[in-house]
Amino acid sequence: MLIYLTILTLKKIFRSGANNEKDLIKKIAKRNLKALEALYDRYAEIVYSFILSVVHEKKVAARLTRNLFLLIWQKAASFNTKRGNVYRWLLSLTRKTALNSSSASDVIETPSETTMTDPLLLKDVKKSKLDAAKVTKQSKNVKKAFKNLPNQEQEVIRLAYYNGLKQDEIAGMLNIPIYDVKKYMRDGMSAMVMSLNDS
Amino acid sequence: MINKDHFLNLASAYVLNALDDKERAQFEEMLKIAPADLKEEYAKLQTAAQYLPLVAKQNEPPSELKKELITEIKKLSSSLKEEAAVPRPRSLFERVAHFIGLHRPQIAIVIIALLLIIAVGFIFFSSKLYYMDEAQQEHLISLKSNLKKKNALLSVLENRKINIIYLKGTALDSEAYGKIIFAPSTSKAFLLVSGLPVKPQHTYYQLWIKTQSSTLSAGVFNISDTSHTHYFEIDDLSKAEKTDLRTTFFVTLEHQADAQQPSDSLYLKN
Repeated sequence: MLIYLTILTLKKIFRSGANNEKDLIKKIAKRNLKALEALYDRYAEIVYSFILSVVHEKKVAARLTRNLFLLIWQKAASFNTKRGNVYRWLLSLTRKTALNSSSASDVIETPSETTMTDPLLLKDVKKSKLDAAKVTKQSKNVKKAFKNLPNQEQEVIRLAYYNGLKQDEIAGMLNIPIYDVKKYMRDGMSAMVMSLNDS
Repeated sequence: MINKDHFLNLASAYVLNALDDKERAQFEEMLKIAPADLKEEYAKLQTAAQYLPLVAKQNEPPSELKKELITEIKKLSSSLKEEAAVPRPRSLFERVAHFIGLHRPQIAIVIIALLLIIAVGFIFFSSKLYYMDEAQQEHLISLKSNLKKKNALLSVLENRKINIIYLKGTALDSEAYGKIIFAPSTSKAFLLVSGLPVKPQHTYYQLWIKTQSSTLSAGVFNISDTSHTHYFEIDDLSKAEKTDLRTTFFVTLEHQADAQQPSDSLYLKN
């Protein structure tokens, strides 16, 4: 009995995190409101902050955040719980929501885990195991790593990630050769990788 | 061989979604065939990119936002429930299925089985109808022929003067008897026979007329059953000159269809 309880407890411990988030999505797909509340509690800040940093208006950011969670409520069943990663899915939805906010409507195209181009799903490519808890833990390190990047690198990464610009558009906007954009992007991202590995 | 520098340039932009469509496709192809160490580099870049949302200043969403969201979802769910609660008009098929208490596939199987039974029944009855029709047609032909003969007999009997010659059975069949009815004014005559046995195969009953000068064949006839009287029109009676009461008639059984001379198998005679 004691062994059984120990195994059960260990199972619970190991099932926390990424798997737990998948369980939440499964429950949301079955119309479990408590599960959506739990997911909201984990991700609302990340989602809202990201959207706000793109749209710069609190009211718009709040409306878009609400719409995004409504979408999750409606589309949770389309999420592939076997292959997908909840954090990546939400991130993808958040970016789309924020970047599309400049268009006339708030309609978000749902990137389902199966239709989304996802090289991470290749067999021998290491799959992402990130979840809200792990990411939040790294918050300070990420901020520090990014702050340590030279300004040009920060700007190029910001324009790509937060404004959805392609390399040639960034070159045009900053009035620099595309070669430089590629270099800043590569150097910046490599430095981020190194800093996060060290931390 | 993949150039590492080129690969990492593309990978860094790819994880930020900053490649144009052409380069994006090119990188995805490259990634498929990339060695393990480059795939590992790519995975690290991808992870680093996933941390980028934290670069933004973190802000708490408005406190009422969660409440609004839950209210909105409840509203949405209740309207969906109402929609689901409105009974949609059911088709006749669904009503029948509901009445019988079967599901759609079961109803479909029952319908297919019924259609098969109907089809088999239809084939069976139509074939039977075909054969019945053939038998009926034969019967009709026989009736028409009988009617024609009866009409002819009636036309003979309607004459003012008719002669009747009685034929008796012989030692071969004493129970048999026959009559020849003819009207001298028309030369039409009929032979009525009863009690003659059904003839063996390849034999023929033949009527003969014997006058003072010759013996002539007056036709061949067939007896198919002994239950009733048979009658035959004698078309060759005109061959006999001066047919009168002194003329002799007799019936023999012959072994060929139109014998020229009567055999000894005498069955009827007057």
